[in-house]
Amino acid sequence: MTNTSTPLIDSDVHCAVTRDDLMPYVSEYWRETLETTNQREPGSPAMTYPDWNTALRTRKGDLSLDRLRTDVLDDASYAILYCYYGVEAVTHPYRAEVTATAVNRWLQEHWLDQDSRLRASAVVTPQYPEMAVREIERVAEDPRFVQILLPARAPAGYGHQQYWPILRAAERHGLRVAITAGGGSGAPPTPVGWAGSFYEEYNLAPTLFQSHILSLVMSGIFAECPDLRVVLAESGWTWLPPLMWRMDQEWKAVHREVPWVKDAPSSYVRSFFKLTTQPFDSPESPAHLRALLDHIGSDDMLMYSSDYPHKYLHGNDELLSVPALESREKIRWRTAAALYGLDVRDGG
Amino acid sequence: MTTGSLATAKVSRQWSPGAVIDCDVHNEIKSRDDLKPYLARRWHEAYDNVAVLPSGQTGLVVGARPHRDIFRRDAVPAEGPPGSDLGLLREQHLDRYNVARALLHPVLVVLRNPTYGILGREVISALNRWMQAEWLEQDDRLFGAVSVTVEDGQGAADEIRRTADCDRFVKVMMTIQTREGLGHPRYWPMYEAAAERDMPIAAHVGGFSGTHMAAGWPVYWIESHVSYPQVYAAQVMSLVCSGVFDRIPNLRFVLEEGGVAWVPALMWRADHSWRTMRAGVAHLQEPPSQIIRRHFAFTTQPLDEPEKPEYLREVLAQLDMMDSIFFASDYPHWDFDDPSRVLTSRQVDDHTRERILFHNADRFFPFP
Repeated sequence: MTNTSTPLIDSDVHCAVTRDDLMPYVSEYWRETLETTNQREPGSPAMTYPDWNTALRTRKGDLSLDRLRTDVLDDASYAILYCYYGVEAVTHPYRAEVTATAVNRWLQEHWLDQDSRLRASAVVTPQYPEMAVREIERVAEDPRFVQILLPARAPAGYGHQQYWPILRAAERHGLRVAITAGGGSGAPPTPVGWAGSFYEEYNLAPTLFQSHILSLVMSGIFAECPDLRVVLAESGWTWLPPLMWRMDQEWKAVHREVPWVKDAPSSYVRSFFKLTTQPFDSPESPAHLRALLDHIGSDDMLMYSSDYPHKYLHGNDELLSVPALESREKIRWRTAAALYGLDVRDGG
Repeated sequence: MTTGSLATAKVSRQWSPGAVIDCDVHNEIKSRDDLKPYLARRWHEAYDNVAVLPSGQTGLVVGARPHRDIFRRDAVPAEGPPGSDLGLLREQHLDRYNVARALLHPVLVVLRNPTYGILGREVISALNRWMQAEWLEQDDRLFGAVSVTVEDGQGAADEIRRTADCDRFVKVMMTIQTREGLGHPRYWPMYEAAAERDMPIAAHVGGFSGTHMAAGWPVYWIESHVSYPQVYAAQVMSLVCSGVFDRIPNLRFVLEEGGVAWVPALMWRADHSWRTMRAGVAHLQEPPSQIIRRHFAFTTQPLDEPEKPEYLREVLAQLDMMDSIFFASDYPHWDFDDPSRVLTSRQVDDHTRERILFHNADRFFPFP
């Protein structure tokens, strides 16, 4: 599938955890509570749709470290793990916190300790910022956690000041903020309510990421935290140029409202955001793809990802085989290596 | 449904070089009393007491737009608010810009009144009677949108059928923000009534429900204005997935004030995922982009402004819907587009410009 003669970093691979896996990492009180009460496992409500299961759901049985080694790590120097567990959907604050900590400890022992090519996203509780900050401080002691994971579906844009303690803590500890598809915040997934099929919801997922870009840029957090970096994972990215244009267009007219946004909003997007390549919702023709890459206006935003084990009919091969694609090496590994501080020997 | 290439369509007798069909012009009442002659007396007291929060029915105050109101400063008539004076509209807009036809709609009046319920139906009906008598029958260049109770599909259908005696109504006006996605069956009676008259449904900025952003409420006004395309995208997907176009094959939507640049990426994603997730939408028999291209159209104001003008040309090529884009000025609002300056030669060629300014809309709307 991939050319092994040059390095590769896979910026988005998934693993899955279950409640039983977490038992060794919680106190006796929580073991008993989780075993004897009806508290179900958290998760994104989209999982109830049948087509989610066939198309995108990550099931524990689909994924073992052995399979990840064969399917991903044989080609890649590093892989960035995402273990979404829906902790943002847990309203009980203490259960939410203990669950996040347990997921991260499980990640350390069952994945990070087992293969030195793995890096991970730490699970935190965006609904409880003080707890999230505590967890950030805890995981920051392990440099193999390179970012925190925030779900795209959220009750507010992540630039909202309620989230600033989380963003500040991430920056302070050198962790990137990764926003990834899914989430169970209790809020409906579209601006006009609940969708009638997973297909409909899936196609609107980019609007969630658009919300967060807009919110983060207009909030002024990047003036407060110049070293903060945001990764949009499994977001798609071919929708990005029109958002940047409209932000710039409106900013010219109404910049007085957000005086901390000193330059065109698109310049903040290009400086502070990275996006993973899969899913690649490619244009209908090569000419349109070429134009789209021009419209993106940066060769340093896209990072190769397989989104393993999710299955797509096409993707990275089409992107990386664009003729005269000068950013091929950056997409394959250089941008991710610089972002995460990963040591990759040139030439594999 | 209006189809066929421009080459075979008859050239309208009202066309002349430079003529414009303006698909989004807003008129206004001078005062609330203007509607009372058209409203049964027993409803006057309730109408006088309709309380709409100054910041909309949610009560939220989202940032601040850069002007005290939404109007062009020079569009204020001697009496009444901008848009309420037919003489000034003629002088300042229709005559000055060679507007052969203007599609009028008093959007702010709709947004100040109930969107459902009996009072809502009565007020909307009064508004359409006022519109017909005091505007559409006063100038041959004026055409209108039927106002409807946006959250009452059957009430909307009844009103569309009631206005059938006036062929100067050529579209139905919906708000883009609705309680449910526009594909929800609660709205279908309205669509059936519109389709009977081959009238498209126009979905315009405004409405009371939902947020502008997929992720919660915006904080600043700029966020609320930038995020509108998210609402439009949600409505397009809602309609496409609903199957309503199978039920009503000549149903068409004009998306007003939402721009167009966001549409290609939505079509790409919808087509790719349709191939992998067919099971959940087994009723969709063709790539969603084909459904979108057949059933949707767009107005130009505000036209997207990419960093380089030629990028817009490329986006329009990606969109591949050049028959389905219509000029709109949004007169008398502050972000008005001047038809003599919009769409430069770096963005579109002269032939395309002429189609957008006149011929596309001429063919699309059921003008008498």
